[in-house]
Amino acid sequence: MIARDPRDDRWRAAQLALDRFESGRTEVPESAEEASMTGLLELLSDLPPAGWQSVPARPERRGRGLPRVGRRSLRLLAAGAVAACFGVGVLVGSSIGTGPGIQRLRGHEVVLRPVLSGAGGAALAVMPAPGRLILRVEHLRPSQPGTYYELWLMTDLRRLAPVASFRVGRSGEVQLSLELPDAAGAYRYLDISLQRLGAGTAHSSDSVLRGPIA
Amino acid sequence: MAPPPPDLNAEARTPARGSARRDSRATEALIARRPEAIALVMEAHGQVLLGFLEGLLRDRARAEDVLQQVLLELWERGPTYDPDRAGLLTWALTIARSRALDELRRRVPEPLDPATMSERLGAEDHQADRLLEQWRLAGMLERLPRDEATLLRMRFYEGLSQSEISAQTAIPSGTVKTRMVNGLRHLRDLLEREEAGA
Repeated sequence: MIARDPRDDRWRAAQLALDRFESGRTEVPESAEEASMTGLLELLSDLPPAGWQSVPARPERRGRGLPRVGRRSLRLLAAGAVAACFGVGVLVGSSIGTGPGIQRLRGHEVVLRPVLSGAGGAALAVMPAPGRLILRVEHLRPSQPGTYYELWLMTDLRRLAPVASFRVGRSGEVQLSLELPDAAGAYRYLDISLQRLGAGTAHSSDSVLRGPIA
Repeated sequence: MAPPPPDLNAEARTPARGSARRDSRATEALIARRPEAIALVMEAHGQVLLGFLEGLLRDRARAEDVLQQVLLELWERGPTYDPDRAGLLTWALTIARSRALDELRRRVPEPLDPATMSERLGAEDHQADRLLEQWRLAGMLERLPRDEATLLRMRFYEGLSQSEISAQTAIPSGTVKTRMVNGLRHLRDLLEREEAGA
């Protein structure tokens, strides 16, 4: 494995290049190594969204809610998002019967229901802006050791794209703020599958929740 | 897709070895011409290859067609592939670049003005090189330790500042920066190793 000596040239070059990048300064790099790091930073900042698909989004920390909205309820969050983006915040107050905290919005949302009737869980995905998705899951079976859940954009089992991996704690709840790939509109469903570590990265065919994208 | 996300508050920083293992299995299978070779290549690098091709061709269907050609070429040339000369991803992307440029040039409306033709072809080459570097980098992100990769994603994909990342993850800002620097350093090492081969 690579040594983590902060004094070595590459580490120092990375630090200098990052400082320069963050401050917006455009001085000539002091070394070839720093120039390479600067190029790397430029590539990273221009990387197409799909290039980040292999990197998991940050996990939601329980008890903190969405970082940018604090502890607001999903209802307020969704209404605010819609109002901000479209000038209207039409909230249909009735529960969809999938959990007390999940409310239904008119438009720009996807309700995910159990694929097998009788199975637990429900989820609501709100798209407050193009390419952005907030997923709220409730009553889902807590992740067992060696398993995780995966959110997919799906048309069928041959045409799908992974969006994010996540685990569910004992509360059965999770809330994620995610970026969608550019071609998200080309898919018909949002799907959550139960995946097993070490069983490959393809869809496991074990879908637990699914909802049609309007 | 990647395994589940890490606990960013955990001290453990386990490198993502799965990606390197997949690469190694695909390489062995290609050289030995085992029937599962192409499936393994797709598992290891399919997303990156398709992303690169789609970025260059700007057409999903054509990108999928060209990807088929690339996979066929990988299969045919597999037994002569020397992993000591370049990593599998670099080799596959190089083939993909050639096939994509062939495809682009087939699509150029005729006749071309000779005065601007070389300029135009040069711009295509440059764009292909830039995209190739970007997607090679994307392929390496999967091999970074998860906590470093996730912080880089938050900074460069989600556009959060280091202090915002610190606030959202409860990781001290100095640690956020240190992990980002470590991530950049690891990325350079990985890119160098991939370019140079095993």
